[in-house]
Amino acid sequence: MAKKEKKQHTHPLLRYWIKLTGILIVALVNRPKVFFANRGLQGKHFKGGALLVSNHRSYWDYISYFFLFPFNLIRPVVSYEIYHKNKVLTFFLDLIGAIPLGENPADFSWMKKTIELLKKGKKVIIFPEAHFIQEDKLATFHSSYILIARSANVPIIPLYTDGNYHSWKRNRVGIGTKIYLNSFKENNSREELNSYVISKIEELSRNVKANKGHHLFSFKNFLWDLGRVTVYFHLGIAFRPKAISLEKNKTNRKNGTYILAANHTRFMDPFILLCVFWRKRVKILAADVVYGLNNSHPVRAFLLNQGGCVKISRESLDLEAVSNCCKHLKRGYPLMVFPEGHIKRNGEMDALKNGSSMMASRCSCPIIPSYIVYGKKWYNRTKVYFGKEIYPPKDKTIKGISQMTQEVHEELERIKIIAEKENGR
Amino acid sequence: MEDKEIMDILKEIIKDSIDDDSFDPSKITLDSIVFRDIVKNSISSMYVALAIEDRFGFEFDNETIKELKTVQDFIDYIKKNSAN
Repeated sequence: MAKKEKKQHTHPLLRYWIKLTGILIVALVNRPKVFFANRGLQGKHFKGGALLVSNHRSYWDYISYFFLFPFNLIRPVVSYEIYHKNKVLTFFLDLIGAIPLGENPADFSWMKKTIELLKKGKKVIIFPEAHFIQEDKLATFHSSYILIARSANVPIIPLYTDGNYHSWKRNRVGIGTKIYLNSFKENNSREELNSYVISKIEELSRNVKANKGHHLFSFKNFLWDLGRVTVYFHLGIAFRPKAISLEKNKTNRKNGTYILAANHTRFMDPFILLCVFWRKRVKILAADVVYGLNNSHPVRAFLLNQGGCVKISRESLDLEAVSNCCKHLKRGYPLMVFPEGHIKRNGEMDALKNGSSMMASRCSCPIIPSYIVYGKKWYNRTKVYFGKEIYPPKDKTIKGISQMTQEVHEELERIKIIAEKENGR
Repeated sequence: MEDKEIMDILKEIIKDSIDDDSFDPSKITLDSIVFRDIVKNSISSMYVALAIEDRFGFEFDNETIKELKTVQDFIDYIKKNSAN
């Protein structure tokens, strides 16, 4: 027992030395490509204690995560079976400061030790699936990590790895933003918080997969990509759109899944937003009237479809359009909607339709309210203001959806006041 | 799945789709026309259709959903297409 205790206390300097010597080798073998949910909020460097929670693919997860964060020492929690699998593995796990679980399931000393480390500002990674999952989906998460994070009062950082370690393919990793459990109500059960963390890791997994095939150009999306670049070069010069985020520490062109909900005063609005988001494959929800009534403009319809538009009927129940948009969102791309449903030239905002909130609720993604202000003179820059992200409520019923729409409307009204004040309207 | 079981799930979905606390799902009968007598606006209709898809593991197409009128039509369709 005394021997084990000695092994588990590897000096941090030794661990930094291992990191320094091994980082290049692991970087060459794994060639990790990191996807950040919001790099402005959470990059590769952590300050203070944090509990990292990830899916589990193989033994290499420990090594991969150990070397992924260059300035932090990450200590993994390892199951008893893995820790004692063979002497070489035990030796290496000791070197990186692993915290082994006890042989007896009722032995919670590892939990106590993890909480102590987290309280001291250390970083610990835990794999709540408790065993390797080779399939492309998450297994059940044991919720004990919620108890640890709550007791140590540290944030949880969701991580996702695709487990590509031994092939020519690059290892893709997703890093989410911090989840502060004290921002939730105390009566939220462990299971509710656990499912929230799982949903965040699932979102990361979708975004990592979507990012996988993202190139500036691809033959499959040739016209779409050509359109994006053409729009950017022509309208970017004519309107010179300027993106302004009203939230501090937020990037307004972040990666991942979200719905852009903008005001609609001109036919040019989607093109202006495309100029701002020209690097991303943004789908646009377009009313059937834009396509021409009764398929009277097949060429226009073809170009709109190729340009990333999704046609939605105003009159009938268009489930296919909603389904297409949700598939696009779940692949990790943004969607652009004009929730008023029509152009309102006088600048006043009508009541918003609930469709965008319903899609956000189904896909667990935020809505980013955006407000477009055109310059007074032809040479003035067009400005696009971005407000705070509105996340779907836990209540997935129509009441929750209506409440979310109301919040988006209030945020748009707030941005409108700020934008008009800044632009002297 | 039994008709009654499907009916209970449908009642639950319809209740969630209506933003009115006074709505009584026990008034729903097999002959009620879903998108006229019970669910009266487009967003609630969309909610009902999508919730049925999620709950029973299939997808409606735009033409099929137009043909389904009564609660009984929905139950028959669900029994025929449900993944469970």
